[in-house]
Amino acid sequence: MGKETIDHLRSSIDTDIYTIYKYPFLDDARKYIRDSGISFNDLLEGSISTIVDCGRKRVEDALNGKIHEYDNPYLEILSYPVANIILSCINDIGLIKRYAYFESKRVYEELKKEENNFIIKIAAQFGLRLKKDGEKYETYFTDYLNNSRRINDQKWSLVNKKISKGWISLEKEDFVRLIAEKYREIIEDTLPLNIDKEDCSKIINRVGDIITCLKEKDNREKISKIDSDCFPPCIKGIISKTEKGINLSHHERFSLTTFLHKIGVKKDEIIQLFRNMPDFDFEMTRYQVDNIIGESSGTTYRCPSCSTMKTYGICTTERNKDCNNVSNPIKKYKINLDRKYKGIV
Amino acid sequence: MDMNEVSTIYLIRKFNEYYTNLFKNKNFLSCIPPSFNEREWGFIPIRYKRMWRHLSFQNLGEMKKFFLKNTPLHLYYSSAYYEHPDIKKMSEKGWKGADLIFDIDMNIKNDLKYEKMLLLAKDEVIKLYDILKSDFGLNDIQIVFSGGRGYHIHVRDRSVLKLKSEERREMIDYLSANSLNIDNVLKKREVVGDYGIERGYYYGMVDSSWGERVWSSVITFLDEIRNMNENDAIKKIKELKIGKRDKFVKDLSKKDALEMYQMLKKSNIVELMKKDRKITTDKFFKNLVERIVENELNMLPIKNTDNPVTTDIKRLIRLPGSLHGGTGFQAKLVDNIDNFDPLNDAIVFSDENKKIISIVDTDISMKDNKYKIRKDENKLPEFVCLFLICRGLAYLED
Ligand code: SF4
Repeated sequence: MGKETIDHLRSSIDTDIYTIYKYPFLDDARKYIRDSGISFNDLLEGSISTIVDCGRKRVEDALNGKIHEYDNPYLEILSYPVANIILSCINDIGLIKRYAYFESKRVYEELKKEENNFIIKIAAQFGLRLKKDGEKYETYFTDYLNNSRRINDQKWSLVNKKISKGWISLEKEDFVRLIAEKYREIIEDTLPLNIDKEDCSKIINRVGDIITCLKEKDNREKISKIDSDCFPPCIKGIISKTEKGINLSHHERFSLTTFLHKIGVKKDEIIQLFRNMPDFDFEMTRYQVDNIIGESSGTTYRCPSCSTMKTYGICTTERNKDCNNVSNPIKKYKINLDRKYKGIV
Repeated sequence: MDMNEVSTIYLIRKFNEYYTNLFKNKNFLSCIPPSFNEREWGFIPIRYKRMWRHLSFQNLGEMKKFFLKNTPLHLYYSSAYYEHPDIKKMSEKGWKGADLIFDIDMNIKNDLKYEKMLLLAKDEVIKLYDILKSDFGLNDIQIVFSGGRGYHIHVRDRSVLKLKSEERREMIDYLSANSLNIDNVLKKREVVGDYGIERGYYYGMVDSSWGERVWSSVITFLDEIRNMNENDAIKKIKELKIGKRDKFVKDLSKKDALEMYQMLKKSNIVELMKKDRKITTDKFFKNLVERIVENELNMLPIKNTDNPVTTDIKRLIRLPGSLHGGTGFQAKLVDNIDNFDPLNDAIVFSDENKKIISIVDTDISMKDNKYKIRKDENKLPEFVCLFLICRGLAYLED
C-alpha cells in the first residue's frame, strides 16, 4: 500500500474522524481502520512508515513518562494497532502497564472536555452503567468499585461517597476518570496479543532502541546490603509488584516503606523502589516517604502487624504457621536472617 | 477435654436423629443454597475432628444420604460457585462467583454474658441489613443465626456475586466506617463577625451518605432533647459532658444546661439545620454538635464484622438449618430478626431430663429459664445437657 492510498483516504474521510481520533479504541475507530483497507501485514511490514513511526512514538512516550501528543487524525487511529503490536512483541509487562497508564491518562484529559452525549456513548461501549441526573452522573456501585480500586486517593473511598440504592453519584470529572480506568484495565487485559514470532522479528527491528532503553531502566539500583532474600512473603509480594510496574495500593506503599525503613534501608533507596510505578512522581513519593518515616511529621509509623496485613489483603500466606506464627513481618525477616546466617532452624 | 465414649455415642445418635428429621422437613429446602451442586461442601465428623472438604453433590438425595451416614458435628458449604467444586486444588476449581457474606461475631467482647452478646449482635445485624438495603439497594439477603456468637448474612443478589476480594473489602470499609472521623462527615470552620456573633462556628453537611446519616442523627438527637421535659433534658445535656467554653467538662452546671435546653426550644436552630443543612453557632453549641457527632460515629457504623470472612471469596460457611457442634444449637434461618430470640428459637432438642456430670459451676439461661449447674451430678433438660457436652463442660457417666 503506497502513499497515494493514504491521500485517497484523506479525501474520502468522513467528518466523524475528528471526534474519534483521540479514542482509537472505539468501535467507530475500528470500523475506520477496517474500511481503510490497510492490512495487518501492511502494518507489520512497516511499508507505511509514518504509521509505524507514530505507533512507535506512542510506546516511546509511555516509556518516557509522557502523555502522547497528537500528530494527525488518521495517523493517530491507524497507529493505535501498531502500538499494540509493538508492545505485544516486546512483551514486557512493566512496559504494557506503563503504556496503559499513560494512555488512560491521555484519554481522561480528553474526556473531561467532551459533551455529555459522547460520554454516555463511551460508557455504554465499556459497559459502565450510567444514569444521568441533572449535572450529576450516577453509576452502579459494583462498576464503581471495579474501576476505582487502583486510585490511591481517600476521596475515592466508598465511605466518602454518596450512595443510594446502589447508585453512586459523581461529578462528570470523576465519572470520566472511571471510564479512563476501565480503558486502562482493558489494555492490560488484552495485551500482549498473540503474534507470530516471525512476524514479531520484523517489527522488533524497527524498535530496537526502545528495548535498549527499557533494559537500562531495568538495571536500576537494587537494594544493597539488605538481604532481600530473607524478606517475608508479604513484602516480597509487594516488591515483585513494583518490579513489574504494577501500581501499589496505599496500604502496600505504607507497609513497604515502614518495613524497609525499620530494617535500615535508606530513604533514597526506598524512593528508588517506587520509580517503576506507572504514576511515579518523584516529589510526591519523597513527600509520602518522608511522612511515613517521620522526617516531616515527627511521628515514625511502625510496620503494620500481620493481622493488619491480613485485613488489607497483603499477607500472602494461607496459615500463620508458614510464617512461624509471627505477629509482625519484621520478626519474620529476622527469623529468616537467623536461619540463613546462623543456621538456626 | 476429650469426649468420653458414652457421650460421643449419645451425641452421634442425637445429631443423627436431628438430621433424619431435618431432611424430611419441607422447610429444609429453603436452607439449601441455590446452585448447591456448584458448591464445595465440607464437614467435621463427630468422631474424628478433622475437616473433610472438597465434596460435591449432584442431587439432594445424594447429599442427604451422605450426611446421614457421616453425621456432621459441623456442616459447611462454599460461598463460591465453581466449575469443579470437588477438585482439591483451589486454583483449579474454576471460580465462577460467590455470595457476599458478612459474619457478625461478638468474640471481641468476651467479658460480656452470652445473652447480652447475642443482643448486641442482633443490633448490628439490623443496622447492617438496613444499610445493605438503603445504600446498596441489595435484595436476596438471608440472615442466619450462626449457632455460636453471632449471625451470618448471606447476600445472593446477582450484582454482587462477581465482586472480587478487594471490592468486598471496600464494602466492609464503608459499612464499618473505620476511616471516618469528624472531619470527613462535617464541614466546619470558624467565622468572624458573622450572624452578629463575634466569633462563630460554621457547620455544614458533607455531601456523602455518611455525612447525611450523621447530620440527620444530630438533628434527631436535638429534636429528642427539645421534646423532653426540663429535668430529663438537663440530665441528657449534662451527660454529654460538654462545656460552655471547654470542649470537655466533668460536670456542666444546671444553669448552663438549662440555657442550652431553652435555646433549643425557643430558637429555630434545628429547623434551620434541617432546611439549610448548615448553621453558624456559638462555642457552646459547637461543643454540643461535635460531641453528638463523635457519639454517632461510634454508634452508627457496623461493628464486630469478622472481615476476612467477607473478603475471602472461597470460604466455607455453615449451612443454615445444620447444627453448631460447639453449642448444639441450630444455625437458624431468621425470618423476622426483630422477634428472633436465639436462646429460644435455635434450640432443637427436647426438655426431657437427663443425668449429667458437669466439670464446672456455671449458670445458663436458655428457653426463658435460668439453669444453675453444679460441679458433678446434675439433672437437666436434654437441650442443656447437649449444650454442655458440645461445649466440653460436661459428660455422661460411663
Ligand atoms: S504472616 Fe506476617 S510476615 Fe508472614 S506473610 Fe503474613 S503478614 Fe507477612
